[in-house]
Amino acid sequence: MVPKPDDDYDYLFKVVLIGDSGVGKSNLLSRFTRNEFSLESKSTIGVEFATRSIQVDGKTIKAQIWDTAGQERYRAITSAYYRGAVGALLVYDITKQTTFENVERWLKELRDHADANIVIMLVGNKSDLRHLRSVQTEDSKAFCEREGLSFIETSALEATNVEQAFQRILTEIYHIVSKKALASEDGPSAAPSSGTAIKVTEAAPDAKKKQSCCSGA
Amino acid sequence: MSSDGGFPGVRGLFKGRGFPGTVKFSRKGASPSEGEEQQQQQQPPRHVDPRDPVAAGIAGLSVESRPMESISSTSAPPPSAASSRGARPSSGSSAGDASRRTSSADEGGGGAGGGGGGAQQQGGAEQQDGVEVTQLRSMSSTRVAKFMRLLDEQVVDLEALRELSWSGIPPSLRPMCWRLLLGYLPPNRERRMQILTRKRREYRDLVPDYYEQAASGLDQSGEELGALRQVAVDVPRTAPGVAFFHDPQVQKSLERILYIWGLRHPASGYVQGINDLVTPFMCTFMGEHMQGPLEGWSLDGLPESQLLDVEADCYWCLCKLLDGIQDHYTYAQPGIQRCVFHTQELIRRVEEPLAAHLEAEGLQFIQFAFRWVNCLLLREVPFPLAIRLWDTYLSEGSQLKDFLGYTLAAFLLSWSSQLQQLEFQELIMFLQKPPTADWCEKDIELVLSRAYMWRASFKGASSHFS
Repeated sequence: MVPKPDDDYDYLFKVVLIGDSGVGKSNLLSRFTRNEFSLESKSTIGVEFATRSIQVDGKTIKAQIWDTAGQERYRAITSAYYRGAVGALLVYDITKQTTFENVERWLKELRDHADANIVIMLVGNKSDLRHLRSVQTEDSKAFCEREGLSFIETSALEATNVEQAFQRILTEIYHIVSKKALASEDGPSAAPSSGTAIKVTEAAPDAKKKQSCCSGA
Repeated sequence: MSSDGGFPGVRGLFKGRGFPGTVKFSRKGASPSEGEEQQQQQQPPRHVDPRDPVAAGIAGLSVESRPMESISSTSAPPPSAASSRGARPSSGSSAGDASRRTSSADEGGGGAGGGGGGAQQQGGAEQQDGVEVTQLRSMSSTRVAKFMRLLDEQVVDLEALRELSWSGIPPSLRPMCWRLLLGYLPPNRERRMQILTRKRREYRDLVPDYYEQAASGLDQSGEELGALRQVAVDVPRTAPGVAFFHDPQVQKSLERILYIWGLRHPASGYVQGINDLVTPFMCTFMGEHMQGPLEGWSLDGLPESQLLDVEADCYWCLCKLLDGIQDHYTYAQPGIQRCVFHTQELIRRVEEPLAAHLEAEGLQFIQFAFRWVNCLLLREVPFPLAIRLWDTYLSEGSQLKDFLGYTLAAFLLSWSSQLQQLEFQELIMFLQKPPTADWCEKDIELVLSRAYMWRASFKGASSHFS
């Protein structure tokens, strides 16, 4: 079978989108993968999937993104998708304080169910609604510094920073992965002790075929 | 603001602004003013009928007094019926008239709502009649007569009604049949009106007890606040393709129904997707008070008491439907997991190559079928077909839980050979948005009859699936 261009990638990273209901996770995903925004989209039930490839340092990174339902009831189902994820975009709504307050609970979810080395980025969405802002950028920044997370504010509606958010988290994951791959080339003693290493790097970085780091594929 | 569709302030920002990529408005009429114009065109001035045709129908009164012609005219309306459709009689009308109006409104509901599907656009009466004729294949006059005979009985034979309704209910009789099938109304016609009045009053008493307290911000626990917030987030996202559901009054109704249901069913509480499950009820019961296609429905002039009656009927019918599947929505949603497993086992038995292919690709049934069960396939088919699905679901009654697995399996097999050509990623993209936009009633009926056959042949072997 002739491989389709879409199949051609150097790395496959599984990323999850999590956060409270109605913060705009699905629209961030559709903006990133299809450049679409829907003003009246239905709620996500369970989990939805989309994918897109980007270039980092001349390598093709394919992101397999799982968008999850925000309601607490669904966590038993959605947390199964955290397994094998190397990145998580934890989204809140800058106009709704409670969605920011709940970030801690989402972090706990990740600690309980995801890989310990998962890269987490906090995303304050709906930055276009300036006049309704209730979560200050400084507060989020301070929180992220304390927790060791990256942070960005986005507007899926205006397509502000959406590309950057995904680009940054995927680049960060890529750097960790390639660093670890490099380290393992140096010899067995260097690799496993490294604190930043993540488990998902079994695949050699240059193999031009499917190297799944995800349980799903 | 509900008219913002849950995105406060966003709509105002759209004026004269450009946004990158595609910004989708799912509703017809991209700008609010355009939408209003459209509505005005479609909606003739409403004169409120002082008599309540719905109540009369429920009491079983109009059923026997309905002239047969007026019912059969719904499948092939004579010119006079078609031309009179636009205007609503302003004063008391005969029961026959009432039933005709009701039925035409209902068919509108049945043929409309293709916002997502877009297959059946209804602009003028001509088009609408065309839809009726094609849609009512199963609604031959003999079939309608059979329904009438059953409903005319002093005590309706529910088993016979289930059997008949399973293959589709004539739109004009749907509200009545659903109420009976769900056990919301008793088979004995003498007691119907009394019970209906009581249940509607009971619901009205629930509103201040449960909803108004919470909505006023007094006296509620954090959990209740959370539930209210969740409902408020989901209501504007309910049936986004159907303009009617964006009416602030309809949204308020939905909000009350869902919030009160959640509070009174603490084992599960409100779960996302239950909002979808109310929509067939809302359209069917509201259809008794509306005319013309769903796109043109307006609540202007509808007395609040009638709206509350519709709301009450929706609430109690939702309760009845969910009573049978409550473990779909309790912690970890075991009912859904069982149903998905059942579906998978069925595919293994009836279409082994597909099962093998999905497994080889690493696709788990839960990854695509979870939502299918959670919303009873409502999100996977065009809205009018969802109403048709409901006919069968409600006829199944307590067997629905078991029947769902067969239905899902049959639905999946609609694309068996296609699916076997796809790989993991293509599979999941395909199955999370199955191509049913141009499906018509016979497609969904094929799925249902396959499901029926399999259940018949697997009966007795069900222990393998548990």
